Amino acid sequence: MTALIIVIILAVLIAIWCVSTVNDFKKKEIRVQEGLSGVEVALTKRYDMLTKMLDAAKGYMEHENKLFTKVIELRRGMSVGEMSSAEKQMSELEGKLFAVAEGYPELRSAEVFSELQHGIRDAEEHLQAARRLYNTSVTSYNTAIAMFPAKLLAGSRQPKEFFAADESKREDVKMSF
Amino acid sequence: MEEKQKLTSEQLEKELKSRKTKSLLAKILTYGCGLLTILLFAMNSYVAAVICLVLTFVGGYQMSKQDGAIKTLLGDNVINNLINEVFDGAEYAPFKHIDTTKVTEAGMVFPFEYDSVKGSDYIKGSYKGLDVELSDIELRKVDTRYDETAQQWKDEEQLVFKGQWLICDFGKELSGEIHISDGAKKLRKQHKNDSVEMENTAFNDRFLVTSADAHEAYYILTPHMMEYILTMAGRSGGEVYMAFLRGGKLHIAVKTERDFFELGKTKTNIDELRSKFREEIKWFTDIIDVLRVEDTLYKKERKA
Repeated sequence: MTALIIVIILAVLIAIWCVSTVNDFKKKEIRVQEGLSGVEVALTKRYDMLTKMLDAAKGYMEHENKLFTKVIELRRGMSVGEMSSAEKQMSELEGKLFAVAEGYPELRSAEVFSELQHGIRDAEEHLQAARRLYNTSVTSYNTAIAMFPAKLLAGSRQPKEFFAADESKREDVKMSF
Repeated sequence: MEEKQKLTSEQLEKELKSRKTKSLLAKILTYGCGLLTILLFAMNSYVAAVICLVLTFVGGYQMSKQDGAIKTLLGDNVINNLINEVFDGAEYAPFKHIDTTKVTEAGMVFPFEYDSVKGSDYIKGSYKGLDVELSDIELRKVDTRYDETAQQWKDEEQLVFKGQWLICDFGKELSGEIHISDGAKKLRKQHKNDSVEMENTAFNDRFLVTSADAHEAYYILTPHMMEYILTMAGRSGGEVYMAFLRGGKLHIAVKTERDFFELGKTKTNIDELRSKFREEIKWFTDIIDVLRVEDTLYKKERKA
């Protein structure tokens, strides 16, 4: 009888542990999803700011338009790699724009340009924050599913991808200005 | 208006030394007579006990009078000059503190509760264009207990926080509020749902970050900012609590277990006192400097 009680108690404890572990995986997975949406929002914000900046710049530097005819595409449900690569492209474009703007004092002194510059910087900061938050959530999730004995309950759960620039996928993303 | 007493360093040293001795004697008288009062009451020597009780009150009054005089002397001759070197339009009120409402509205996440706010050494001024308030703060918890002997309910005050409190108005609107609290272990359980785990392990080990918006917490707490907070907390000699409020105000509370501008037990050398007090103020102004110049959060706003 005592043995049966011990077995029942053990079974209940194991069941509780299983439920809480699986719920923990779910919670962490949700946090990763939330983190990814945050990155998407921040990326879109940066994209919008950059588009506005380019529109404002076009009026001042008509001869340089060819420089910015690169195609960038942002769509819903992009993979982490695609997002990283879009971000990288935006940074390149931004760098190029600021470099060219150096030769146009009128543009640099325009109020709208300075406001947009500030907006872009703010968008970049938000993107960095979103990326760090996402990566922290991924670390937490990946660690949770890799640790023993919780690993036994991970099933088909795969480690999530970190948000980092991926050179090999750069060609997949197309943006146009 | 009471006239300020301006003394030379020698006169001030002499005056402080004399006041300190008087305060010490009054302290001995207070505690000694207090103890004697209890003993005499226990021995049913009521007349002697009452005399001792009166002496206890006299000693207590003298002690607070001498301490007050020391504070005023230091304020008039050392602190006012010092804070005017650091802050523009500085005001110093030795017996005032930061407004209670401001302290409570900061919503600081402490591992304890408090009911009353007291304090002293209030400084208000402008530091490099930013409005700053600084003071000693004491937070007390009032426990109501039933006294079996007296057969009545009694309020007992317990000091839960003693240290310094800074409010700096950066004027930068934030989309959420962030609280940073020292002693993460004690608080983690009760803030399971609103705590934010940062990527810096050392920071997580020491501090608990609470916010309804994790993104905002990451936006404010950049890797550099976390490193800086850790370094400053190490230098503070106490527990550090911070609140980044929506309207742009930053509150910093440091539980140092001592008052600002204390004379201390050492010799009353005025130059040493000046440099000690300067260091005490510098800890706070350094934080403001880093936030407005080095870090991105408030710098960004200034560039706009």
